[in-house]
Amino acid sequence: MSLILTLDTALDACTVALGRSGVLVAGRHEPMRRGQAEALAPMIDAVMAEAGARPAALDAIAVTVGPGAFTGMRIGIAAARGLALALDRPAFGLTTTEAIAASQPEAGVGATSSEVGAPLLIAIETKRQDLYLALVPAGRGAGGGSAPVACPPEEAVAWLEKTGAAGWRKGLLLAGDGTARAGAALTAAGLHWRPAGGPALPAPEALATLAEAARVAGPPGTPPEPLYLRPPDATPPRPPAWRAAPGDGRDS
Amino acid sequence: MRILGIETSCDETAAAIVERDANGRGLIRANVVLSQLDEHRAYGGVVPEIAARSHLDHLDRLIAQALEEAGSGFDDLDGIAATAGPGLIGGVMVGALTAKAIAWARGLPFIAVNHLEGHALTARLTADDPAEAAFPYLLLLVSGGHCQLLAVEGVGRYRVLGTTVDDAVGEAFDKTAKLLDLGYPGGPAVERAAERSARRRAEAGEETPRFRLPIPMRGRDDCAFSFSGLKTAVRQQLERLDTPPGEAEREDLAAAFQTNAARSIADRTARACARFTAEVAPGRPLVVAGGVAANKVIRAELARVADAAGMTFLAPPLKLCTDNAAMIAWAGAERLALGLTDGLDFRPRPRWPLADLADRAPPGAGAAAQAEAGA
Repeated sequence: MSLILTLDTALDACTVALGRSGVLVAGRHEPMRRGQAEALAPMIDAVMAEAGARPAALDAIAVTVGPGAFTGMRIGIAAARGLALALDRPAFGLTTTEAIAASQPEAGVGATSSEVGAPLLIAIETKRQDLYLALVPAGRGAGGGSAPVACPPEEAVAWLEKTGAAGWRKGLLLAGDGTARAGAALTAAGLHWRPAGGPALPAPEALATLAEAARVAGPPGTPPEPLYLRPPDATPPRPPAWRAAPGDGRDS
Repeated sequence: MRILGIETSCDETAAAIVERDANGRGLIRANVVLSQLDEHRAYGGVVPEIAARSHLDHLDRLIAQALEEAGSGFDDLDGIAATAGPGLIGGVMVGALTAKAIAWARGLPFIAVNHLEGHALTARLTADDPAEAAFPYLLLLVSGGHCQLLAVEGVGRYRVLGTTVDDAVGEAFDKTAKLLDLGYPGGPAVERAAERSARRRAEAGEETPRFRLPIPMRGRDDCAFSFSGLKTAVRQQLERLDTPPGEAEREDLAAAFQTNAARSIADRTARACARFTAEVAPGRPLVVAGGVAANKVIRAELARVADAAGMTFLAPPLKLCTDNAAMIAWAGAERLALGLTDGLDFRPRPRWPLADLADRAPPGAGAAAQAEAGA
């Protein structure tokens, strides 16, 4: 018996799932593009109250670490690491791509045990030109997919080839809020796909199952860290104009 | 009471444990600050995304370190205070969410602290005798992001007497340092260059400064600041040179900039002293806070201004002028002592003027909660 609280604020929702041995005891899921910084802590309180569980009863904290919105990822991870510190419990990360995979009916809720029948491509909007992609090969569970990457849609096929996975040329399942753009690129490349049919965002039930599977597999001993897949936007400043002036160098 | 404070609003990740006794006397039990200076240096300024990432990487470890240094556990705490604005919002959220999580997990009150209120109340933490920094007092808040004169009438009760119409003074120091290529951070770089200029000119017996710059806003009948014109004047002087400026010229320009920035601040503050004395009370303290309060030339000018106005001059130790979590813990303690706490649904805010705290002032946390809901 293990009681795990899982947080997800990395995408366009605020989600809290309390699972006992992988089964959802109480959960909340509210779609929102922003506002997770206000919504998360009261939602944790509401979920725990609904289950009648005290904070100290938790055995571990899980959190989605991305890929996703940088600010959202940090909201969840900061809260998870704060809880872990205050309760002296381990905290560990789940990827958003495996959480979406686990939420698909084809994969079965709790897809770490049930296998996907066809290769499942998870596509998440970056709100930039590229997409976050991960592939769960046929015959694997949601947790057995490739590491997520940031990839422009037109390079998706080249990336699929690089994964070395088999069977995706015969047809793919697609899930995630980037399905439309990823699907258009696949169609343009002559590939067949259909929607996996589940939610575009991680579902509480799936989070509870994945978290338990991760705990059983033995979470890393280090705190959860964001999966940014992208360096910060920053450019070094130009030197002042006089530095570039001809005849410079008197004191440099 | 014993409070954990968390500060993540700019480029310092900080955690502190501070006590406040029944007489209002403060004691810092631990004050841990991790500067991100080296991470931002190459960019010549704070990069918000780099700052936010770094806060998350280090904050939980620093909190554990602060607790250990204070010999405290979470059970010994009475509240968790975190900067909830104003500042770089990505970083503010990291601190605020960490604090909310800890407060919820340990069943402790959460106090959302305005970063500027942290600076504004620091003098009450560092005073040897709480009576020294009793309300009301005149506050000059000078930092990279802020430049204000305020009448501090109580916790949460701030009246703005004057503010900058363009750049904050710290911002002007940074921009000037960039124009002169003096290094980062700009404040200390300008100050060091000005010191070298003063030494060299003293040795050479030069009496007339090489550069003449304006003293912004001097003599104006209000307490407003302006620094962008002074910075522009530095640029124009540079452009007027026939050859690229040498070391000595750059140092002399830095000195001229600093002297006039300090004189402008002194003029504006003297004006505020007179107004405060007439409108609020005579003989009260002049308190300086914020990173620019570390500048020795500005400090000296302010001490002179306070003396001339018949006011005592209070300047917290340099370490507590720059961003830190002890001031956040202390502001949290002052608020908690008045029964002011915040809900876990508090929204971190990038912009949060001190004057807006009036609706978070005592009496009653109920009024504060309503104000939040409507904000």
